Amino acid sequence: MNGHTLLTQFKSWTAFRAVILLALVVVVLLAVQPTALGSYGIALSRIVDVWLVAIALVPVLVLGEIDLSVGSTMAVTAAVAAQVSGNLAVSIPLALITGAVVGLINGLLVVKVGINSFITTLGMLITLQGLALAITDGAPVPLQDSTRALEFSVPLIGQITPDIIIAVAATAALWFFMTKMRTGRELYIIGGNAEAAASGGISIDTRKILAFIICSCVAGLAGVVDTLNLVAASPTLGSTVMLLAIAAAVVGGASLSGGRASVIGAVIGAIALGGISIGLQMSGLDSSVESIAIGAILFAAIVLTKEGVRALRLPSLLGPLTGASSDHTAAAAGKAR
Amino acid sequence: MMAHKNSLFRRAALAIAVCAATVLTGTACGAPGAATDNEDWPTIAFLVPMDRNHEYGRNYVSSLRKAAEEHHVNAFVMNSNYDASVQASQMKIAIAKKVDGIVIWPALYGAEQPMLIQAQRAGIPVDISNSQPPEDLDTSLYHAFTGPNDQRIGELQGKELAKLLGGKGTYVYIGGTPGNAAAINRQIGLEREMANHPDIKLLGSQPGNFDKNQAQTAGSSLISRFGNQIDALVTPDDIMASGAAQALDAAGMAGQVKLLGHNYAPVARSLLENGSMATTLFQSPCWDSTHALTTMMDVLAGKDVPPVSYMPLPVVTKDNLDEFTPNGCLPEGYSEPATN
Repeated sequence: MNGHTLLTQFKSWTAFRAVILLALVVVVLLAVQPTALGSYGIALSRIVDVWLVAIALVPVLVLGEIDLSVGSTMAVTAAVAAQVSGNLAVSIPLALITGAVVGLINGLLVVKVGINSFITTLGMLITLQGLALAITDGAPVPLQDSTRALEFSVPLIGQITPDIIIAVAATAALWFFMTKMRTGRELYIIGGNAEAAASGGISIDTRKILAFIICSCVAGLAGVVDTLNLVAASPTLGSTVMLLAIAAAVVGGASLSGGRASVIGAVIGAIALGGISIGLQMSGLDSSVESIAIGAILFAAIVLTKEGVRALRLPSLLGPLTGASSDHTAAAAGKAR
Repeated sequence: MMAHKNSLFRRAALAIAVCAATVLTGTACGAPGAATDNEDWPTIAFLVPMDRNHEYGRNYVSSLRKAAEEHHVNAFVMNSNYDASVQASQMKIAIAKKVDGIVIWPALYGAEQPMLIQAQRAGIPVDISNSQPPEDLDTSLYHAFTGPNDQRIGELQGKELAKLLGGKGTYVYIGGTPGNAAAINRQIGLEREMANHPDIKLLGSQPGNFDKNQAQTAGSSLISRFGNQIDALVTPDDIMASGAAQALDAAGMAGQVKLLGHNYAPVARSLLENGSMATTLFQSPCWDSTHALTTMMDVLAGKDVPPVSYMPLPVVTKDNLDEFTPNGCLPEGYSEPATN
C-alpha cells in the first residue's frame, strides 16, 4: 500500500476532517494551554452529554432525518430518573424506557403519519419541555439516593469517571450496531438511496422507527448521566446540548442530507469542540469567544468538504477539485465507516 | 494524483487559517475577559451563570474585575450561561488550575453539593455568591454565603404592595424562569408576606422567564384575562417589569395599575420618573461581587467570616431615586433602614 493509497483512504474516511480538527486542537492546546490536556478527564467529562447526544443523532442523520427533541428528551428522562423513585435501580431503567417511548412516538409520526421529521421533533421538543416542567413542578429535583449518585463523580481509573466509561460503552455498542450489524448498515443504504433500498427488500419504515428509538434512548441516557453528575434533575436540562451535538456530528462527517455519518466521527467532533471549550476557558477568556470558536470550526468543517468549496465559490480551490473523483457522496452511500 | 493532494492540502490549509483566525480573534476579543496574569497575587475562580449576556451579570463581573485589581487578586471568571453541567465542569477546571479559592454563583438551585465536595477533596475553600443554597445543604462544605436574600426580596415586595394598595385589592404576578433559585425564592417570600394581608387577592400569575418580551406577552395575557380588576402587577425583576409596563401602556392602563419591580435597573429609573412604575428594590451587583471577593480574601487570610452576609435592599421610589445609581454600588456607609 503506497502513500497515495493511504492518503486516499484517509480522505474517504467519513471522520477525516474531525481527525484533522482534533489534531489542530491538540497542537494549539499543547502550545498555549497544556494544562487542558493534562486534565483530560475534565475535558471528556465536560462533553459527555454532547458526546452521547451526537452519537444518538447518527442513526437519524444517516437517514437524512433530524431529531430536534434530543435536548428536551434529556430533561424528561432526567425528571423521571429523579422524581419517580428513590431507587436508582428502578428509576434509571424507567427513564431509559421513557426515552425509547419518545423515540417510538417520533418514529411513528414521521413514518405512519408522514410528518416531516423537523416539524415532528420540533413539536416533540416543545411538548417535552412542558412535560419536564410539569413533572418537576418547575424546580430542580434532587436525587433521593444522593449518596450513590455522588460516587458517580469519583474517578475509577486515572481521571476517568463512570460517565466517561458509560459514554465509551454506548459508543462501542452503537458503532457495532451501525457498522457490523445488518440492520445498522441498512440505515446507510436507506440514507444513500431509499428507492434502491426499498427495491432491495429493506423495510424502510421499520428501520426509521428503530433509528428514532435508538436516538431518543441514547439521548435519555445522556439525561440520566447528567442527573447523576449533578445529583439533581434540572427541568431545563439539555437546552444547550442539541445544537452543539449536531455541530459535533457534522464536524465528525455527518451529512444533513443523509447517507453519511460516523459514530466515531461524532465522538471525535465532540472531543474537538470540548477541547476548544476547555482550552479557552482555562485561558480565562470570555464565553463569547467559545461561541465564536465553535462557529468558526463549523465553517472549517464545511470548507473541508468539496461541496462546501463549490458552494463558497472559492476560485483558487476549484481548479484542483475539478475532475476529482467524488470522495463522499456516491462512495459513502451504503457504506458504514 | 497531485491534484488530489493539492485539494486536501489546500482545504486543510484553509481550515488551519480559520482555526488560527479563531484563536487570534478569541485572544483579541477576549482581552477584557482574560484573567489578570500576576503570579504574585492569589487567584480566585468565580463560577458565574451570567456575564456580558445579562445586564446584572455584566455589572457584577465588571465591578469584580475592578475590585480584584484594587485588592491585588487574579479573578478567574467562568460563565456557564445557566447550564448546570457546564458549571460542574468549570468547577473541575478551577480545581485543575489549583486556584487558591472558589466563589460559586450556582447555576442550578440544589445542584451545589457534588461541586462543593470536589473542591473540599481538593482542599480549596469555597464561598457561595448571589443565590443562597437550599437550607439542607451541608454548611461545612462552604465557608460563607454573600448576596441578596431572595425570600426577603419577595417579602419586601409584599410589604410595599400592601402599602400601595392600602391593605386591600388585587394583583397579578409575572414570575422568573421556572426552576431558577431566585424565581422560586422571591415568589415564596411574596406568598409568605401576602398571607399577612388576606384582603389582597392574587388574580393570576404567569412566568416571564426574566425576559422583557416574554414578560410583555405574559402581561398582555393577564390584562386581557382580568382587565380592570387588576390593581397591581408584581414582578421580581425590572427587565420583566419593563415588558409588563409596555403591556400596561398598550392596554391604556399605565399608571393606573401599580407596577412593582426589583433590581433598580436603568430602565426602572425612567419608569419611576414617568410614573409607570410605583416602586422597585435596589440590588447592587457591585455589592454582590465585591463582597464575594473580599469575603473569600478573608477566608484565604484565615479570618473568621460570617456564614451569611445579606445585601441591603433599599426601596426605590420616584422620591429617592437620585440616592442610588442603577447597576452601581450602594452609597458609602449605607445600611438598610430598620423598617425594612
